[in-house]
Amino acid sequence: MAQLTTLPNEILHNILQWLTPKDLGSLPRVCRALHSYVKDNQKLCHDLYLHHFDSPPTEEGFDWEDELHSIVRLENICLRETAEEKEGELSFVYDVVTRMLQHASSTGNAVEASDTQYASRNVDFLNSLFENEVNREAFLQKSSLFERVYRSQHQIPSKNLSKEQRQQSAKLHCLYGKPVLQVGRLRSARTYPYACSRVYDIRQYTTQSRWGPFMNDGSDRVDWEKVEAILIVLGNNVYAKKLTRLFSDIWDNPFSGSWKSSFISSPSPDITSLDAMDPYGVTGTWYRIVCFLDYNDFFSYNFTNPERDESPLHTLDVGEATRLIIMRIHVTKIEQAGPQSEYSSDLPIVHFEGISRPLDDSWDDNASSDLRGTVGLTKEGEVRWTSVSIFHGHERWKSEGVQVGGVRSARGVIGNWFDRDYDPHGPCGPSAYWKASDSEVAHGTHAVLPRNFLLWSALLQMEDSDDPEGDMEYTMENEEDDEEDDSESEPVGNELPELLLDAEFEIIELTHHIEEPPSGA
Amino acid sequence: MAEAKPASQKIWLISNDNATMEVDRVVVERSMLLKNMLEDLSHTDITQDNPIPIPNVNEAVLRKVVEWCEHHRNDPVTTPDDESDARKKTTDIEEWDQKFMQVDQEMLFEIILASNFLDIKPLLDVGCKTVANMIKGKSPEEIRKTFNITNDFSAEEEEQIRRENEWAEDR
Repeated sequence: MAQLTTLPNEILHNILQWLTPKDLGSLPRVCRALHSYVKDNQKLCHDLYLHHFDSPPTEEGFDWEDELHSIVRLENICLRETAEEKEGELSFVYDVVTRMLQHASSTGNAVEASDTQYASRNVDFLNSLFENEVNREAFLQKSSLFERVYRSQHQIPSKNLSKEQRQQSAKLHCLYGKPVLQVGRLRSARTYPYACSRVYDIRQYTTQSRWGPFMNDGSDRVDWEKVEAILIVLGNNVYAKKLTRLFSDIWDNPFSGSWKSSFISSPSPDITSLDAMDPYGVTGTWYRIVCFLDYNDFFSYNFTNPERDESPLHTLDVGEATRLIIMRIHVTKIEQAGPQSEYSSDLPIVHFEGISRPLDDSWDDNASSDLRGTVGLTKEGEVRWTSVSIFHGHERWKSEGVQVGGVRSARGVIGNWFDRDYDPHGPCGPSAYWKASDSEVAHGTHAVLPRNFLLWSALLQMEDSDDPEGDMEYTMENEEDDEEDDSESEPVGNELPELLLDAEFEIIELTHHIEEPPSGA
Repeated sequence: MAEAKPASQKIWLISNDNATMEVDRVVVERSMLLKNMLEDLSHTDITQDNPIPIPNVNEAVLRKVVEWCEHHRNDPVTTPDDESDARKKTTDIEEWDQKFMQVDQEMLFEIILASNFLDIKPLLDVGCKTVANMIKGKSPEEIRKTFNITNDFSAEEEEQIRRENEWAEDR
């Protein structure tokens, strides 16, 4: 009579390959036959891994069994009940999560609601783990920024974490990519004012850190706690301006595009030989968001306190201005990093030029400029972007950023902007850009408008005209809609109406030009 | 050579316990083994009196297999390309197949063996997934119970193997 244990090996393999990684721990304990079949069976581990996860970019040296074991352990840790039971595993969780993102690869189709991002089963798996709020609390909220928030809540912060572990947690948060804006179930603490106190503190901008999100020691290693603070500040403004409706794939989906080559490339047929040699995929159209403080606020925050010491500045929550910009850039030169270079020689250094134009505020001079910049790999292996904006031939603002997820990630670049001459009086602020399209050709603004741009504008228009105090209305609505996204509860000064006016203006202008919906653009 | 084969063309199969059954040719062709065999034969070679023998498969099992092939007679043929497509590698089983697989364990394994022999890949996969779903999430003891397997480890072996597989448990 046919029995599980007497089936021919090829059939047994066909059956067992459909199991979950966890089952590989139970099977060998059933009986001798199954034990000897499963033990050290790399072929089985290989097939089982590929049934659940992305096929890794390179299979060479990939230990399927070991990876499966780590993933099961990660899963088990994430299933523990309380944050206290989990948080001791931060370093392990960091290792496995970053490794899974490194091993992520496209499943060949795009993420839902995005034209620019590949789907990944590794990312889907990580999403399922971090859907659990307790896991986010245990692993994404351990940087010094969160420690300050917890202290303000009179909560005893968790036991002493090393500097390294704080960095790990901050980096996990950045890879997660959807900033945590609210801490604690009572929702009494917002992270934004603490993030501002870091991003707008001019003392963070030093020569050693190249005025960018790097360590203050000249090593060019990324300071993920700085990136995290920038992410929170930008995220807060993105949500407050309802930009999530436009850029939900980037700003509202966990781990979206936070891995190498997650951007869906569709190079135009007239690709230049320079573009073909560019490993970073520079040429194309990029969305950019820049935030800044009113200079009076910036100045009084930084320079009117006589008792400045090393400690962080007090929290800052005065509201900022936000600009949505389109950059069109192309590669101008590619060179190899020499032995003396500040860059790694593993990848070339790519220079680019282009222009930047406002998407939401057509009369702001600062948003409209020429651009020049450089992309290279740091010695640590992160992708570093430097850009300079040029007004009437004069360099004015500079930025330094790091591409979250690595080369050609759809998540894009997060960093700082500051005065090109490193003016110690500022101003400075946060900025991010992410790729919209491989095409740099200007077909008019609407050709690269994000999906749903018109819908978004129309909705804003409607909501605004329905209710003179539109701001509050959205807040209430959001409270019910989504636990995470409601943190912009504070009305953001007077600039939303301004943005709305601009959006209306844009829409009138646009509807004249548009023949068909821009969703495929 | 394959000749003109009207949809109604009949083929006769005989099980190892001598039961003859009449089946549409398109249905028989769900089996790659029989499809290839038929391509080498003239359509007059197989008659009610000269059926294709199916060794190792008894009547009850062969009827089940034919039932499956009848239901899936119009399914597109899967190519090796589709097979390697990661997105299709799920353990989801369509409803009709789930019901079809609600048989006793011996029959289940017999269907798997028969589909393996007859080279009916989709049926083999459905069978294997069904068994996999019976294993999933179970403890070693529960697996033994489900499949009527005897624990043949000594106490020391059991302890050692438990330790080998500690990675799967949360300590």
